[in-house]
Amino acid sequence: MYILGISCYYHDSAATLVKDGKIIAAAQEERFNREKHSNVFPISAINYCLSKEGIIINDIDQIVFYERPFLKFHRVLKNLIGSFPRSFSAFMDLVPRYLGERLVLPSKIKNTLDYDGKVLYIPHHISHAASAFFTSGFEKANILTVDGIGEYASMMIGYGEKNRIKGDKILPYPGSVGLLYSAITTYLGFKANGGEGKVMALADFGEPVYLDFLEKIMDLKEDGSFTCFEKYFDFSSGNRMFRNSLEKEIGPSRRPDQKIERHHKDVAASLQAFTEKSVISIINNMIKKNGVKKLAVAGGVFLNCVLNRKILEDTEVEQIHIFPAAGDAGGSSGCALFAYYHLFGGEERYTIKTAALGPKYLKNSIVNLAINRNLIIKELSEEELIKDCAESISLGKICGWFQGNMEFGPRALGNRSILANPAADDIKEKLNRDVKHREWFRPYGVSVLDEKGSEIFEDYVTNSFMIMTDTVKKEKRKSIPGALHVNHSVRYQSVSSDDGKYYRLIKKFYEITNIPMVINTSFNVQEQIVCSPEDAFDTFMNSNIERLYIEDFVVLKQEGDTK
Amino acid sequence: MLCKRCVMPESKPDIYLNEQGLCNICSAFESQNNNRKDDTVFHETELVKILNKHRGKHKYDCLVMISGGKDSTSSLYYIVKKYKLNPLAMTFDHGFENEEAIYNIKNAVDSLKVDWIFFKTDFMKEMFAEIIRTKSKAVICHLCSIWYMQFTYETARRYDIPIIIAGWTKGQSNIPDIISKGKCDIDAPEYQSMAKATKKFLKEHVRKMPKYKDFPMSMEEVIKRAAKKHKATVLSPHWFLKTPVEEYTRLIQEELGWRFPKESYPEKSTNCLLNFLSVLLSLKHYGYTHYHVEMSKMINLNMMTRDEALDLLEKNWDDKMIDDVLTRLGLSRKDIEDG
Repeated sequence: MYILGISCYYHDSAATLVKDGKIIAAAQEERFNREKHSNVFPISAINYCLSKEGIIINDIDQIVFYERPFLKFHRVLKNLIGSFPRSFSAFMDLVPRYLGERLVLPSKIKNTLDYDGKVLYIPHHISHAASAFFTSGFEKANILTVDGIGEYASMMIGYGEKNRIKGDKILPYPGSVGLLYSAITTYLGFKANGGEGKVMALADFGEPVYLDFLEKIMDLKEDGSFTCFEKYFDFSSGNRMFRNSLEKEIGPSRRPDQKIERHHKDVAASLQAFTEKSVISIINNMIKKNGVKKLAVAGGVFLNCVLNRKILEDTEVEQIHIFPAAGDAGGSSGCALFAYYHLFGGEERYTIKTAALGPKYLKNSIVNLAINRNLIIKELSEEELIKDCAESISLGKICGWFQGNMEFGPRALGNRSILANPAADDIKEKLNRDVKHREWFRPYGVSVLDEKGSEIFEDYVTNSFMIMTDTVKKEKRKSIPGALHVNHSVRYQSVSSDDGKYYRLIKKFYEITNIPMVINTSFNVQEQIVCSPEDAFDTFMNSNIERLYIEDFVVLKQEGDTK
Repeated sequence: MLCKRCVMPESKPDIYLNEQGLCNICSAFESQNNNRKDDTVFHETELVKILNKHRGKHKYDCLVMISGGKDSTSSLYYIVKKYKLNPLAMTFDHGFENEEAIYNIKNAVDSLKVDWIFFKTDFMKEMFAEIIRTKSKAVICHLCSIWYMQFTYETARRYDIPIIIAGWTKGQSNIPDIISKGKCDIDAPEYQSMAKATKKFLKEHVRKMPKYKDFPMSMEEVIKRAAKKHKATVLSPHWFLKTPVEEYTRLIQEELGWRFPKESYPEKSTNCLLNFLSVLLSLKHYGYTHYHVEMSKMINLNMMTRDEALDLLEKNWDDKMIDDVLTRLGLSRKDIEDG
C-alpha cells in the first residue's frame, strides 16, 4: 500500500512516500527549486518520491495533507479581523492565497497530479505526533509536539500505544513556544523561521536575567502552559513579532546590523531558559500522570538540541525519540503514517534508521557534468577516497562530502556535508568567516564514532540524527577546541557501521589523528543544502571549500593540488 | 576537430566551434540552461496526466510505434506494465528491417499480450534508390521518417487512437515544444543543410515520380495533413522518465527476452539495414549523422559521457552489409562513389 503525504503552504513544503507503514522516500521542495524554506506545492518532491519507487500517481492508494486548511483559515481570518487595521497588508496577502489554492487543495492536486481520489486532511499536531511515534519503534510512549502554530494549537500532549495515537490536550493560540521563540528571534535582529538556531547558540553566552520577567508576562503555570499576551507580541506580522511595550520592559530591540551586546545574549539565554522550563514542566506532568518514561517528540521546537539534552537531564524520561525532520516538512511523513495505521489498519511498527530518504545521483551524470564544467575530477577506489579525504581533513582542509541519498530534514548527516578537523583551534572562525559566512558565535556539530561517544562525552547517548548536545569530558576538551561551544558542549551525531562509507571515513580519520570525530556542517553557503551534483559543483566552485569528495570522485580546484 | 564537450565535428556550414571549442549545440544548451526554469522540464506526472485523459475512452488507448530497439520496446513495456494502458502496437517494414529486430518485437507483443500491426511494403524502395542515383545529399532517414509518421497518423485515424507513443530519447526531442510535432526538428540549426538537401530532393525528383505524387514535402506537411483529419498527441515516455538507458535495457532483457543485434550503428542500438547506408552517406556529405546530434544532446543532459558516445559512434561494421543493401536497391558501390 502506498500513501503519499504532503505538507505545504506555510514553510518547508515536502512530500513523503510511505509504503506499508515505512517511509521509503521523503524530500523538501526547497532542495529542488532552490528557494529556502519554500512553501509552494511540492511537485518536484512528489515527482522524486514516485520515481524513487518507480510508480505513478495511479498507484497511490491515498493522498494525505498534513493539516486542516479550513480550520487554519478560520483562525487566520479571526486574527486578521481582530487586529484590523494593523493587519491590512497581511490580510491582502494571505486571504487571496487561501482562496486561490490552499482551500481548494483537492482541485490543485487533481490538476497538478491527475489524482482522482479523495484527499484526507489530518490535524497539524496529529501529523507531528504520528511522525514521532510511528517511527520510534516504542511499544507505548508519551507524545509531545511543540511548534509555532498548527490550526489552533501550538502544542499537543498525547499518548501512543501499538498502532494507535491520541491527543489528550492542546495549548491553544496565542500560547506558543514556537511563536514566542520566533518573536524574540526578531527582537534580537534575526529572521523568524530560520534565525531561531542563532538565538539558541547565542543563549549560551548570556545569563537568563529576564526569565522571571518572561514567566510573569507569559503567566507560566506549573503544568508548563502559558499565554503570549497581545500587549507584548504581534504574531500576525512575520518581520517584527513584538510590540513596543516589550521594548519598554526589557530594552530596545537589536537591528540586524547592530553589534551583539551583553543584553542581547541575556535575552537569548532567558528565552532558552523559559522554553526549557515550560517544556520540561509539561513532560514532568505527563510522566506524573501515567508513569510512562518513553517520549516521542516532533515539531520545530524540538530542533532545539540544547532543549533536547535538558529533557534527558531534568526529567525522568528514559528514552526519547525525535523525528529527524521535526519541523513542518516532517508533517508530510506524519500524516501519511497516521493514515496507514488509523485509517487502513496497519499493524506492524518500525523504527526509522536513516534520514537518507532523498535522491541520489548516478556516476555518469557526475562525470559528464564535471567534464562539461572543465573541473579536475579523479576517480578513486573507496579505500583511496576515504584515505585521501581523511588525510585532507587531518591537514586542516575543508572538504565537501556528497554521498548517496540526500537527507530529509534540516541536518546534514554525512551525505551532503562539509567536513573539517575539530582539533584545529581556528577551524570554527575559518568556517564561519571564510566558508559559511555566518555569525562569529555559531558553533558546529560533529559526527562521532558511536563506539567512542562515551569516552568523549559526559552523558553520551546514541543520537543518530544530530538533534542533541552533550558536554565534552574535561580531559578531552583540549583535543577538539574547534568543536567546543562556549559552555564546552557540542551538538553531535552518532555514526555507526550502519552508516557505511561515512563511518569508514571517520574511522580512518581516527586512525590518523586519534580523534574519533569530524566537524560536520551542512553542504551549503547561505543557501539551502545542496541536492544534486550540479548544486554541489556550484557551491564548491564559489566557496572556500578546498576539496570535494563526490561519490567515487575527488574534485580539485586546481591541477596538482596536493595535501 | 570535435567539439570539446560533445561529439559534433566542426563541419561548416551547420556546426561551428566557438573560441572555447564548444559547438553551437553546446553553446545553445548552455545559454538555455542558464535560464533554466522548472517549467521547461518534463515530469512523469505530466505524462500520467496526458495518458489518464484518454484512458479507457477508445478501443485502443494509444498507438505504439515499435521498431524492436531498446527504446521503443521499453516504451511499449512501460505503457502496458507501468501505465496499464491498452495499446495497439505497430511496426512498418520498408523491406530492410533486420531479423533480430523482428524477433524482439514478436517477443514483446507476445509477452505483453498486445494487438500488433506489421506492415511490410516496398513502397519506399524506388525513392531510396533515386537518392543514390541522383547523388542527392538528402538523408535517407529523414525521408523515411516523413513516410512513417504519415503512415502512423493515418493508422491512428483509422482506429480512432488519441495518443501516438514513440521510443524517442531525450536526445531526439526538442524539449519543451516537441509534443505533437513529430520526431525530427529539421529546422534546428544542426539539421539545416540536411533539411535543405532533403527538401530539394523531394521537390526536384520525388514529385516527378508518379508513384509519389502525394508524398508530403516535409514533416510539417505531415503534421498539417494529420491535424485536419484526426487529432493525436505524439510523445515518448523517455522524455518524462529519468530511468537510465542501462536500467531499462536490463528490464526488457529480463522481462521480455530482448536482445542486442549482432551488428549495429551506433553500437548498442537496433536499426534497419538501410541505416548503415544512410549513416555512411551522412558522414560523407556532412561529417556527422543524426545520431551525433542525439548523443550530443544526451551529453549535455548528463545522460551519457563524451567517451561513451564516442565509443558508440565508432564506425565498426562489416562493409559487406552496405553492398547487400545496394544490391537490394538495384545499385552497386560505384553508385555511391564520387565522380
